[in-house]
Amino acid sequence: MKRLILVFLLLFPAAATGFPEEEILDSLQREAREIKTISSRFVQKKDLSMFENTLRSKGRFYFRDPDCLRWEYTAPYEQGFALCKKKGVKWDEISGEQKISTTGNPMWEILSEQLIAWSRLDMARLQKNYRIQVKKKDPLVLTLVPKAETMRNAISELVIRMSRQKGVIQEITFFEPDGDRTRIEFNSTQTNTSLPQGIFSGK
Amino acid sequence: MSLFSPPGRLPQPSRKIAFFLVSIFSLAAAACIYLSLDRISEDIAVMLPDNDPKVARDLDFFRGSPWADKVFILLEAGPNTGEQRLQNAAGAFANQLPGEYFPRVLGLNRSDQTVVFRYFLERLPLLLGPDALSELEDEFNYEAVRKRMRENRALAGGSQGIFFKDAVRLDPLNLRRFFLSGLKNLRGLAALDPKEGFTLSKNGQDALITAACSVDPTDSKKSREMLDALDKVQANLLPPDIECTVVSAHAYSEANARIIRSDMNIVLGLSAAGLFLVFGLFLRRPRSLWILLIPALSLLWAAAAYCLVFPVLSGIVLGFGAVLLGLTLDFGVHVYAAAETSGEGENPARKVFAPLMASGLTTCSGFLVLSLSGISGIRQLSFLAVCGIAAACFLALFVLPGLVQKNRSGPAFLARFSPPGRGKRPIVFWSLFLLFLACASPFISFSGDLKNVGYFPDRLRGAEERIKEIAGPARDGTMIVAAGADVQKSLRLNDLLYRELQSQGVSREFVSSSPLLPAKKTQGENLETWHEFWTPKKKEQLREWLTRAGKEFGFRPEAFTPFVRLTDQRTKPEAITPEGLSRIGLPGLAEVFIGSNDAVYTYSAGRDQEAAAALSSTAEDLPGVHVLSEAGIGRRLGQSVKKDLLLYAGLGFAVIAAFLLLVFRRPLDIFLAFLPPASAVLALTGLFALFSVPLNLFHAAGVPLAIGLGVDYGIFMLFWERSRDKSGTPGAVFISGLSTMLAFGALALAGHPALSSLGISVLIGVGAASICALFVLPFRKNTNNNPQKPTEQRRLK
Repeated sequence: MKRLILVFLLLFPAAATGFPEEEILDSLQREAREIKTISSRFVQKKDLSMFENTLRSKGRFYFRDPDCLRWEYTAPYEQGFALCKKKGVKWDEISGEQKISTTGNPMWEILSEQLIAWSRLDMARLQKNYRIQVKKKDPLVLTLVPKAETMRNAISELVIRMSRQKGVIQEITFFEPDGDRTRIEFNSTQTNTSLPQGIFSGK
Repeated sequence: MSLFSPPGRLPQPSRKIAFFLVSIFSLAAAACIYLSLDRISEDIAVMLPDNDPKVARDLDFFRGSPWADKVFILLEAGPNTGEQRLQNAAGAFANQLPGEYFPRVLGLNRSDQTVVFRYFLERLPLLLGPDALSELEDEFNYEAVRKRMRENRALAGGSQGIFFKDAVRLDPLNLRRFFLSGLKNLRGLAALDPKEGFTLSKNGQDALITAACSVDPTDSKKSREMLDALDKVQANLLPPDIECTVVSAHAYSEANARIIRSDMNIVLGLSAAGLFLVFGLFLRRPRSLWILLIPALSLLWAAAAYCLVFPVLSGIVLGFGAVLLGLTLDFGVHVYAAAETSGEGENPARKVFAPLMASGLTTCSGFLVLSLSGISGIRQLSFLAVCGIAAACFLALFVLPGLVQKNRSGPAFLARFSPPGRGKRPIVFWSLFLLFLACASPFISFSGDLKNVGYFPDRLRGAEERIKEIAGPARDGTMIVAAGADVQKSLRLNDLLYRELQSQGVSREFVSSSPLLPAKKTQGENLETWHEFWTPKKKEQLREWLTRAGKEFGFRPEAFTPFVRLTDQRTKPEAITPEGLSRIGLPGLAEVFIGSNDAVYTYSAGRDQEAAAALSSTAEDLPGVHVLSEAGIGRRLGQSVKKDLLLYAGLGFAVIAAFLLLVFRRPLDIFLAFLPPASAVLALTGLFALFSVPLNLFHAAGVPLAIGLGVDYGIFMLFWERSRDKSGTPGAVFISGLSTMLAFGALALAGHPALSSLGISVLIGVGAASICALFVLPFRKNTNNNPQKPTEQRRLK
């Protein structure tokens, strides 16, 4: 009987702790619900096999509930995008500013969907697309494995490290199937502050 | 004995023999029709011209287009419905579509974008034509390569880097821009790769599911079953705040069948009531009901003959035939009228033999003219009408007299009715009226728009508009078809067409599959050009530049090996084929561009069909390339209707004139006999022109009936005028005209445009012919050949 219980606990580790994941994820979502705006700086480090060294970029990130985003790199190249209600602009040093829409453009659609889901910690949506596990409780670290094979071709695993500040992400790391890795560290994050006018509609 | 004088002894069979013969023939005919029921088709194509090869071909291309076998399911969210709720419902609906009817739902198994992108990048040498390589030649220098390296560094480090990793390694010179630029319009073609089986509108209020359907839209039974199955899915899955509309050929056929059924209940009810009212008011005798036997049996017998002669039977032809053979009611009314005015033992058929034969033969000859029509259905209708009229003549002369023998004395309405002869004034007035109508007639317009003769409910029309907005330009009408002997030949032709559009600078106005799905032959040529371009010296140069510039931006020396490998002479990527696209989960590309007829379709990206057709007109110089537009086909159908109408009216009148010449000999009589049918046609064309109503296919189909009845009225009235006895003809013409107008007046109230069009045209035509026959033709009766004494005439009036 003891052996049976051990097998059960090995197969279903959550059962051993009274399903804390659900509780943790619920409280995370509750905290995130309180957040209406986010303003943050970030440092992105990419370890890609085609480059000799880690690619470092830095920039700013803004979010306004429910669906406005601005993701902008300030160095080494000025580029980024701003989206609100599925429409917006992207810019870079070569093409300048261009209008974009997530409708009928799967790449922008996936990118914006994911960023919004992480920003809002929309657990319903995240759980629809990922198997979520709590890796560490304090500070909270979550691992997300895409459910769809098509998604797994691009990202094998996501690790999200939460900040001690409620409902705020401190770091996201993407692991790709070919061993490449992207880590984004957020800093100077401010929530529920007023954001500059027009940042979601243009460069 | 002339053809139109009765034989010396006209046999009048007894009731028993008449019943026996009629029963045997009718049973045989009914059995023949019953055995042929499964050959009856409801395909509307039978009423479309088949003598204009261009129209016939264009209609075939429309039928074979990639959209023809698709069913569009539009889900519309209510004002308080959230986008997520709509998406969940649409996803569930797309997954629950019954596979029995829907073998494929576009985008249900969504393709992996990175796999699709890599598939095309690995086949770069197959996609780049001589123009692209010549442009590459111009920028083949170190500075240009360095600039690309900077771009690649920014791309790999940017937010979309995860998607573009393959692009950087396989295409560091950004050669993909050459084929991606041709695909900008594809973004509007959202149905190509809908998300999870549905496409969401920009405002998130509508979701569109596009599914290939295995049911032939002309198979009404299967179509009904398919639509019922969809209703069940809808009832099980959709919440009340989400509305569902199915748009497809099946839905239109079903909506048409439904309104026709509802119309028929009303029209048949009203017509029957009108007929019984006329019979009850004016004929009164129960035996007069035998008259109805003539149209019923003539239709039965004619339909049997139609079943024996034609391999494929048209339900539409049979339906119209039934309406058309209503004119044979006249023959019965005339025989009945003769019976009413005949003495004891006198065969009434003798009295009306000459006008009935003359009328039957003239009408038959008029209908024979229709066998020259360019519309197959009209030719079949001609056969049916000629058989029916022949049968009606036989029944009227040899069967009906035995059934309607007078067995009660007393003056009947038919014997008492006399038209008001008022000298020459009516004929002058009527001639002026006809002249006025004749002057207006040339201004009549003709409509070939099939939407004017089909029933298109507002709900389906509205949904169709929404679908056009969501699915992009492909549903918008104007298409250019590249039709070769097989798919590869069509694709090759499509490549030539795309080059032609590029050379004209209008390729951006169109959505073509050519940039992503060229023919194997084109791919082979492109590969050859690619290998010729990459000489050993150039390859060496490229390697050196990529390494040097790459190093500057942090790339490893081997980062671009996949691209360098593509420049190798031994590299022969697997060809891009519709099957290959299916394999990588992008069947939509082939599905949207290649029709069931193996032709390849290019769509106009703009909304202005006329402009698109004009832009692409030079494309038709390529043999096998055809421009299709709803406006163009409508115009040609309009021309066909006009041609057919002129044929019916012109040739029909010529044949009728020849017969009238044979019957009457005197020019004035011929002119007078001509007046009722001429009045019918001129009233129709003149009034339509005056009220700016365009004449459509079904208005035109009513013309032969109006002419046929007009001829009958003219002949009977002229025979009556020349006769020296009271045959009751004016009463018969009055009853005939009134019953026809009541029946077609009811038809004019129908909700279905085709039925209503037919009703209106016959109502106007027969109305004019009746007025002319009753009030204009008898102008000589009071002065010439009148056997009645003036006092008796006054009493009868």
